[in-house]
Amino acid sequence: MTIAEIIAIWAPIITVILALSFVFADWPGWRFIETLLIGGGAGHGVVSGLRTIQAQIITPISNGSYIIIPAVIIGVLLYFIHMPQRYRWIQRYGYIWIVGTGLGIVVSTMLQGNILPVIKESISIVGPTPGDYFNQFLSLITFVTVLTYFIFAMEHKGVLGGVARVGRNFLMIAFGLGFSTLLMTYYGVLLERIMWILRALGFTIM
Amino acid sequence: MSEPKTIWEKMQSVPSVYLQAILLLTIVVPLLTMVSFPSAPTTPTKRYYDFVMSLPEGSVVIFDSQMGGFNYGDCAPGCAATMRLVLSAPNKLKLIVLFESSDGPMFWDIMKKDFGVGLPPGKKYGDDYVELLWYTGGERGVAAFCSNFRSIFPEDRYGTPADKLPAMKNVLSAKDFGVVIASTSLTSLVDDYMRQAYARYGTPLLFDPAGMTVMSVIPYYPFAVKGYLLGLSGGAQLEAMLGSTSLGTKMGNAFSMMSLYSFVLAIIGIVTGYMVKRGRR
Repeated sequence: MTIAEIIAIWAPIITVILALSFVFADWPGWRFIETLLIGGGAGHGVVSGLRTIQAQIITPISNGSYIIIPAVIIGVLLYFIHMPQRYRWIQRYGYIWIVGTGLGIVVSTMLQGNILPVIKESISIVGPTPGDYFNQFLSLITFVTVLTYFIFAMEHKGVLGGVARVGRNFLMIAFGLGFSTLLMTYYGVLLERIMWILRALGFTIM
Repeated sequence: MSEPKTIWEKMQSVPSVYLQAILLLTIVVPLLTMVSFPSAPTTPTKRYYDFVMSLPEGSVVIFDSQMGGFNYGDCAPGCAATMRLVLSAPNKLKLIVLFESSDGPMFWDIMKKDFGVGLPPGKKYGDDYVELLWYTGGERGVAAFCSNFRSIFPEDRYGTPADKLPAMKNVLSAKDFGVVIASTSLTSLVDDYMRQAYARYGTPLLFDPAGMTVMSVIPYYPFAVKGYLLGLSGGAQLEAMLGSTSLGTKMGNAFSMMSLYSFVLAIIGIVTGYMVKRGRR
């Protein structure tokens, strides 16, 4: 095994172990990794940006796709924010394009792409299994009660108050679920790293 | 802090390092031994599988991978199982993989190596399977390639022009996609495809989201989003449905054990918390 191979195996193992050491203590080893992560992330961002410029701008233009040149100019305008004060107004023209096109493509499809499908999913009681019927029914109840919770035009008293309270409980369940799904992702990442360490150390994953 | 007196107080004061050491064991033991947990596919996973299998013969499957360092552990099993599913489906599907970020191709290669996924016998790169580069601009990029696929992807990641790739022959816009599958931990990507592919072209969607993104997918299931794989466990379930037991299944076992352990800890925590509070009254 060459020195390069040994480093290639041990450097990631040590960095993962140092990163996980934060669970036990905040010590210089962890702080080194924290700094390394920030520096590495910045470096990765720069390289990714350069690769994107090369793949999405330089290569197409050199292949004759001159149509993207106006878009590149609009993008370059954004950098005028780092220019002296009297030239900074120029960057607004770049933002106008970004905000304008962004809003244009989002707003025109939001009704059909977001609002109507969610309403349809919430109020349709269809499904091949009894479980599906129950789920759709529960979705409908959740939809109505949570919407009711956000009615602020009237005081939450009587029936409205009761329904809103049910909606608030559904919201709390959703927030709890959101936290647990976040944990799932973290567990997945931790699991993969530990598996990677085991494999790098020569263990066979059975 | 006073010394713990009751059994409940003693349970609350167990040093966390022991609990974390046990958590480590719950990962290592299933990976290195034959310990396994039953993995019954959930309804969304079954629908994911069924939808791919029911696509018309020769359909084009667009796979958008946002898999990167942050979500690799959660998304990779689903990506590997999906690649196996699409390329082994009897309806001769064509798989076109594209990426959401510049490190996507690198992580896709790592995934193929880790999970041992490749082209099955009889399948050929270019005819049945193509890897493209990444698009930029978020939703603007999705909107652009949904309306004019070649404008964003004029060639594959190896520089071969799209015209010379039979799999991309009739793929001009989202109308030509049989389905879009996105593996992502970005909640915004779900909405991007809902607006730009589903709303504009009626393209059906499948998702292989990281666990943290699944709440953005569920509101559109089962009408617009025909099925989804719930993170790592969804990938393991799909792998089991395909009859293969590779790394995804092992990861699924370890994940089940971790989850079970966390669940037990949570229950103990709730009970001890309640009992300590009751004892102080």
